[in-house]
Amino acid sequence: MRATFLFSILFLLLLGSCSKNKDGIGELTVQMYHHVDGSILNFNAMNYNNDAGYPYSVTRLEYYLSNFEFTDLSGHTYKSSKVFYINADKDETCNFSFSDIPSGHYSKIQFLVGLDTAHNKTDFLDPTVENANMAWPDMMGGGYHFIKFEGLFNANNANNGFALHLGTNGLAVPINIEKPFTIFKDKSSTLLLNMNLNEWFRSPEIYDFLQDGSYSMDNMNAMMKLSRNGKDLFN
Amino acid sequence: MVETPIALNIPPFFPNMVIPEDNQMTAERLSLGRKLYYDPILSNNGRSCSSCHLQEMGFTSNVTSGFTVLPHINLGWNHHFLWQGGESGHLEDVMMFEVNDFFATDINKLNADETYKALFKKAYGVKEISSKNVAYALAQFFRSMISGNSKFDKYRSGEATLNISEMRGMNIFYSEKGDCFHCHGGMLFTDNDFHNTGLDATFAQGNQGRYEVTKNPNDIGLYKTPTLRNSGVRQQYMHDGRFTTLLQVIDFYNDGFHKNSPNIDPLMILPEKENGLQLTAQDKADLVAFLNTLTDTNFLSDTTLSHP
Ligand code: HEC
Ligand code: HEC
Ligand SMILES: [Cu+2]
Repeated sequence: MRATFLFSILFLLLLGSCSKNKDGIGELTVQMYHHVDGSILNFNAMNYNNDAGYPYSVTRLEYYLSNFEFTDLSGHTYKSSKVFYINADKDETCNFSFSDIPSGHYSKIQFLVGLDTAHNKTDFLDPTVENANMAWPDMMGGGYHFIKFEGLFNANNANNGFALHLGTNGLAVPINIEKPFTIFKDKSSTLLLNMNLNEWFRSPEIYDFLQDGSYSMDNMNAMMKLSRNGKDLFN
Repeated sequence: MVETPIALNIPPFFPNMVIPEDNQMTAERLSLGRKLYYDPILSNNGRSCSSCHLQEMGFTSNVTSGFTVLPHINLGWNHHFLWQGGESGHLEDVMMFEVNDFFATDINKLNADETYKALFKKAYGVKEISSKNVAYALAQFFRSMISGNSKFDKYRSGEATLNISEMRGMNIFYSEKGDCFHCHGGMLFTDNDFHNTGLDATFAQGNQGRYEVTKNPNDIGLYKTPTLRNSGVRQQYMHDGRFTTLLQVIDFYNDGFHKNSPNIDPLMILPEKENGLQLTAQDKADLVAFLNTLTDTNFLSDTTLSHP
C-alpha cells in the first residue's frame, strides 16, 4: 500500500518554469529517499523482509555518493568530482546540489555508491566528524566505509545483528540509470533518487545473512557480493 | 573590550572544530573561562567545576551522583553531551545547562565582584554579567581541553613505536576481532552517538538512558559513547561506574553482555559472535595495553589547563 504512495511521487520533480531552455547554467538539487520495496524507511522497525526470507530492521544507514555524471540528449556529459555524505536518519544530509550544470535535457545519470581509488585514502576527505566516523581502519587497507547499513534480523526465533559495511578499492558500486530531467538556465531543478534497501540482498545473487555473513567488513566474498548486488539499488 | 584572537592547537588527523561565530576564541575569554572553572563562586555550596572534574584523572573523578563523572576531553568536537544526551548542540548550550540548572549560579555574586566585572568587560564588552556570558567563557576553556598527544598519537605521527603487546591490542581494537573502532573510532575515540551495549537486560523506569530525553522507545537503554582517551587513568567505567578496571570492561565486551537487552546495538549480537569475542587472557591484556597508549600525560599535567 505504501508502495503505491511512494511510487506515485517517484523519480522526477521539476521545479522552475517551462520556458524554453537557453544556453547557460542551472542548479540541480538531488533529494535522496530510502525505501524497502516501496515502504518508506522507518528506523528500528522489524517491518521488512528480504529475499533470503529474514524479517529485518534498520538501525543505521550512512554512505557516500560520488563521481556524478549527467549525460544530455546530445551526448554531452557533465562531471562532478564532489563527494556527498548521506545519513538516512538525518534529513539535512539527504539532499545536495550541483550549482553549475549547463542547461539542457538530460537522460542519463551515473555515479558511485562509495569512493573511487583517488578519494579512498585515509584522511583524504575533509576532516569532519562524519568523515572521521566513516574511516576504514588502516589495518584493513585504510580509506573510508562506502556504506554502513546496520540493523537486526530475525532467524531461528532470535534477533541477531547485521552490519553490512562496504569499503576497499574497487568495490564502490557503479550506478547507471536512465532518468530524464531538464536543467533550465538560472533555475533550480530537483531530482529524486530512491534507494531500495532490498536490492542489496536481491540480484544477481541472493544475499543471505547466515550464509554470506552478517558482518561484511573484512569479509571479501561478502563485500564483493554486496557490491555486485548494489547495481540495482536505484532502479 | 580587548580581543586577542588565538588559534587552538589542533593535533594532527583531528577533525575540524566548529566554533560558533559569536564566541570566537580570544585570550581574554579563554583565561576567564579557566578562572571560572576553578572558582567555587559559581556554586552555592563551595563547589567548583574542578571539584568533580580533576585534571589528573582526565577531568573526571570518582564523586558519585548516580552517574559517573564524564571526562572533559575533546568536548569541542562533541555535539551530544551527558550520558543520556540531555544537551545537544554546541558547548555553549551545555554550559548554559551547567551554569543555570546544575549549579544554579547566582549571577549577583559575580556582578558584585569587581575583578570579574572587569574581566567580563574586557572579554565580552559587557557592563552587567549574564549567565550567558559565564557559559560562553566556560565554553572557551572547554575548547582548549584538547588531548591528542598520547603515545598512540606519537605512533600515528611516526614519532614513537608501540611494543608488541600494544600492537596486538591495536589490531584487536581495529579489526573485526574486537570491533571496538566502530563506536570508539577516529581520533576522538568516540562516535559521539548513543548505543545500548547490553550492560543490562532491562531498564527501570526513570533510568532508561537516552529514552529519558527523547521519549522514543527505540532509545531505551542507549547511552553516550565515552571517549577512550585517558580511560587508563579512570577508576570507574560506564554510566553507573559498575566496573573499576579496564580488564573488567573488556571481560564485559568479551562475554558479559545481555543479548536480549532492548535496542541492543547490532554490532553486539552478530551471529558470528554468538559465543562472544573469544579473547584469550593474552588478547585481553593486549587490549588493555593498547588502551593505555591513549593516556596523554602532557594533557593530564598541562599547566595551561590547571588551576590558574
Ligand atoms: C558534583 C560533581 C560535579 C560538579 C561539581 C560538576 N560536574 Fe560536570 N559532570 C558531573 C557528572 C556526574 C557528569 C555526568 C552527568 C550526566 O551525564 O548526566 C558530568 C558531566 C559534565 C559534562 C558532560 C560531558 C560529556 O561528555 O557529555 C559537562 C560538559 C560538564 N559536566 C561540565 C561541568 C561544568 C562546566 C561544571 C562547573 C560549572 C561541572 N561540570 C561541575 C559531575 C560534576
Ligand atoms: C556498539 C558500540 C560500541 C562498541 C562496539 C564498543 N563500545 Fe565501548 N562503549 C560504548 C558505549 C555506548 C559505552 C558507554 C555504555 C554505558 O555506560 O552505558 C562504552 C563504554 C566503554 C568503556 C568505558 C569508558 C568510560 O569512560 O566509562 C570502555 C573502556 C570501552 N567502552 C571500551 C570498548 C572496547 C575495548 C571495545 C571493543 C572490545 C568497545 N568498547 C566496543 C559503545 C561501544
Ligand atoms: Cu565497518
